[in-house]
Amino acid sequence: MAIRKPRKKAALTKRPTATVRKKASSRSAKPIGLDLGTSTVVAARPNGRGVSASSELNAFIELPKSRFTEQILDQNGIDFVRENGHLVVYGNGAFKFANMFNTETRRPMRHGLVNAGEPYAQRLLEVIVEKLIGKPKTKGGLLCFSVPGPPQSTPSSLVYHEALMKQMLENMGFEAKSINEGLAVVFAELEDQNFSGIGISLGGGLTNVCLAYLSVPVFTFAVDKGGDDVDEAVGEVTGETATRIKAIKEEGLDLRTKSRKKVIGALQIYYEDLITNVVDGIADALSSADRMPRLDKPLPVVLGGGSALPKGFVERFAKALEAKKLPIELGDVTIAREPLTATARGALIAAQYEN
Amino acid sequence: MPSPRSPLALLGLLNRRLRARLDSLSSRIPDPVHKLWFINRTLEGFEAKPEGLRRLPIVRSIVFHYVALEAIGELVWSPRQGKIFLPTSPLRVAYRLRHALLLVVMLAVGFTGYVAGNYGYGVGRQGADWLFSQLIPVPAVASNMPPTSFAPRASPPPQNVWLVRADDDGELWSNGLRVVTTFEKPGPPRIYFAFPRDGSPPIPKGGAPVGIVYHASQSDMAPLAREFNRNILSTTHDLLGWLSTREIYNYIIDRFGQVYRIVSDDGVAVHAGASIWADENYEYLNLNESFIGVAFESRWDAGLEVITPAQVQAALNLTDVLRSRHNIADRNCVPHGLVSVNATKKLIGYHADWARGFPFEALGLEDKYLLPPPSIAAFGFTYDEDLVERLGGELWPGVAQAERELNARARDDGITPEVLRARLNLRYQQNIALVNGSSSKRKGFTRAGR
Repeated sequence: MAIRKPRKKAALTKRPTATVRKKASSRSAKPIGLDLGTSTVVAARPNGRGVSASSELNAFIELPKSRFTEQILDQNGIDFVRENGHLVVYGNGAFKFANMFNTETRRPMRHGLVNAGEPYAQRLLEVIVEKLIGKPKTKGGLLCFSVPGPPQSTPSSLVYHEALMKQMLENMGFEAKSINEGLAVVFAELEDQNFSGIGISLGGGLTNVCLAYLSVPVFTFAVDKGGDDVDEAVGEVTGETATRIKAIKEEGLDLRTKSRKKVIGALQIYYEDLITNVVDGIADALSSADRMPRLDKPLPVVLGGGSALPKGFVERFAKALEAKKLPIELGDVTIAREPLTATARGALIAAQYEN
Repeated sequence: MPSPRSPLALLGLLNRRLRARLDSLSSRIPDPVHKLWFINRTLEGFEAKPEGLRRLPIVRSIVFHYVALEAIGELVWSPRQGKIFLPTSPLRVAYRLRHALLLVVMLAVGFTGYVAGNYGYGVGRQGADWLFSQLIPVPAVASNMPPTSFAPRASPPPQNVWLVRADDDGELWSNGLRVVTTFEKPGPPRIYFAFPRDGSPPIPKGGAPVGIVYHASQSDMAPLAREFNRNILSTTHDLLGWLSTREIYNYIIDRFGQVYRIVSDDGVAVHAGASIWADENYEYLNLNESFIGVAFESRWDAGLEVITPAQVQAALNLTDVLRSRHNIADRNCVPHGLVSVNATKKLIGYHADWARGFPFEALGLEDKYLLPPPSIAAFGFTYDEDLVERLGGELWPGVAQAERELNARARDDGITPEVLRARLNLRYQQNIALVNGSSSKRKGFTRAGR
C-alpha cells in the first residue's frame, strides 16, 4: 500500500523532513496510553503535570481514484492513502466525507476487535495509530493499549486481537502492554477511591465492565453492544444511515425528555435497551462471581466512553442499577471527567506505573 | 499489568482489616501512579513472604505493616520521590529501623505466645485430667506406688550377658531382655573428654559409653488400666515416633517393660545436655557424648514412684546388658536429677527427674543419693530453694555431704567457701569451653537438649 503525505500531516510521510521527524519522535519518548476503540482511537501522553489527549476516528471511506479528488483532499488537508486504484480516506476526514456524500464509513474494527471482514483493517489501524503517536525515539518506548473484555459471543477472538495489536505496536518500536478497558476507566477516574469500584467503558462496538478492588480486577466482561449498534438499529427503523444517526447523536442527544422526532425517539428506545443489557450483565456477573471480597463501603460506578455522553444517560443508568437486586452495595454512579479520553488516560497511568 | 496473578487469590491474602489498612494508607498518596505502585508493591511484597507467616493472625498483621513500611520507604526516599501525607520524620526513623523493629516485635509476639501457650497448656491439661477423672474413674490399681514397693535385687548381676539372636525387629539377650530396634537410628559417633581427677590434662575418648543416665520421659500417659488399653498403646507409639525423629535417649522402657532402642549404643543421643558426673578416676561434662540415656515412660513426681514392676525388671535386665557389653562401672549408673545442672547459674538439679525415689536397690546398684555430687564438690555448684521445694522440702543426702567437703576444703586452703566456689566455677568454665569447642567443631552445633 502506498502512503501519500497529505499537506502538513507529518505522521504519514514516508520521508519526513528532519524537523518533522524530530517532532514526531520527541512526543513518543514518554509513556503513552492508547485507547484502541471501535469508533475512535485516543492517545494520552503526560504533559507537564497534566495529560494531553488526541484522537482520531477509527474509520475510513473508499473513493474512486482521480487526480481531481486527490487535489480536493490535499487542499482540505484530509488524510488518505492510495490502495488498489482507490483513494482511502481515513480518520476524522472520513466522517466528514461520509456525511457529505450521505454514505457509510467503514471500520477497521468491529465490536472491539479487528474487523476480519475488512482487508485494509490492520494497515489502516497502523496508519491511524502512527498518525496519532508517531514512532518512539528509541526502541522500547512503553505503551499501554486497551483491549476489551472477552466478548460474550466469541471469547477466544480476544486472544487473536490482543496478539495482533501487540505485534503491530512492537513492530512500530514500542514495548506494548495491554490493559482491560474497564480497568483503565477505574485507573483514570477512581484514584480517590484507591482504584476500587466499577469502571464501565461504553464504546462504539462493545461495552466493557471491570470491577476492581484496590486496583486488582475482580471480574471483567464485555457486553456485545455499543454505540454503533444503537446507530445501526436506529438507522434501520428510520431509514437514515448510521453515520447520519451518529452525527445527530453528537449534536446533543437528551434522554431526559421525550421527543416527537422519530430519530430521537428511536435513539431513546435503543439507549434504554443498551442500558438494560449492561445492567443485566453486571447483575449476572456479580451473582456468578465465586468469591467477592467483603467490602466496607459501597463501590462507586463510573461511566466512560462516547456512548455515555447523551444528557440524562447517567441518571437512567443509575435508576436501572437501583432497580436490580445486587449482592454488593453500589455507590454513586458518575460520568468520567472526560468520557472520551478516560480509557486512554487510564492506560497512561498503567504505562507510567510499568515505566 | 499490575496484577498478573489470580485476583481473588491475591485479595484473599489480606483479611478485611488489612485490606482496609491498605486502603487507608493508599488514600494518603496523592499521585495516582505512585498510589498504584504502592498498592501493588505492598501486595506483591506480602505475597512473597512465607505462607506460614501470612496465615498466623497476629504475625500476618506485623508482616503486612513491615511490607507496607518498606513500600512507603521505597516510594518516598528513592528516585521516585513520591509524596505521602503522613508525618515523615517518625516514618523515616521507622523505615530505617524496620528490620530491628520487625525483630523486636516478632520476638515479643513469640515470647508472649510461648508464655500464653505454656499457661494454656497447663490449664487445659489440668482441666482435661479433672474431666477425665470425673468421666471415667481410674481403678485402684493405678501405677502410683511408694518407692519401697520394689524388692531389692535377690541375685548378683551375671558375669556375662550375650546376644542370642538379632533380627529385623529386635534383639534377644541371654538374660531374657528383648530389645525392639524398629525405631533405631545410628546417631553421631561418641567423642568426648574425660577430665582426670588428679588435675592431669583432659583425655579425648570415643567409642563405647562409660555410664548410664536414667530418665523419666515426663510424657502424656493414660491411666494404666484395662479400659485405657488403646490409649496406652497409641500414646507410647506416638512417643516413640517423636523420640526417634529427634534422636532423644538411647533406650526407652514402656510401662509393660518393653525396651526400645532409639539411638544405637555407639551413637550420641540427646538426653543430658548440661550435666556433670565423676567416677573414681575421671570427671565427665555434658553427658550426651559419654553416657547412655535410658528413659522410663513415666511422669516422675517427687515423693511418688511412677514406674511399674515390669519396668523395674526390664531396667534391671537392660542395665546388666549395657554394663556387661560396655564394661560400665556401677558408680557411673546414675539418675538424671543428680547430674543435670544449670550451667549459667551454676545450680544443680536443673532437671530433677529421679532426684529422689530411684530404685537403686531393686536394680542392684549402689545408692548414688549417698554420694557427694561432683557438680558441688569438684566444680562449686550450689542449689536454690526452688529445687528444695520441687523435691518436697528435702534434698538427697549426698548434697549435704558435698557441702561439708567443700567447706572443709576451703578451711584447709585458708579461704572462704565462696572464694573456693568461684575458683571451682572458673575451672568448670575452662573445661566446658573445651567440651563445647570440640563439640561445635565436630558437629557444627552444641547438643544441649534435656
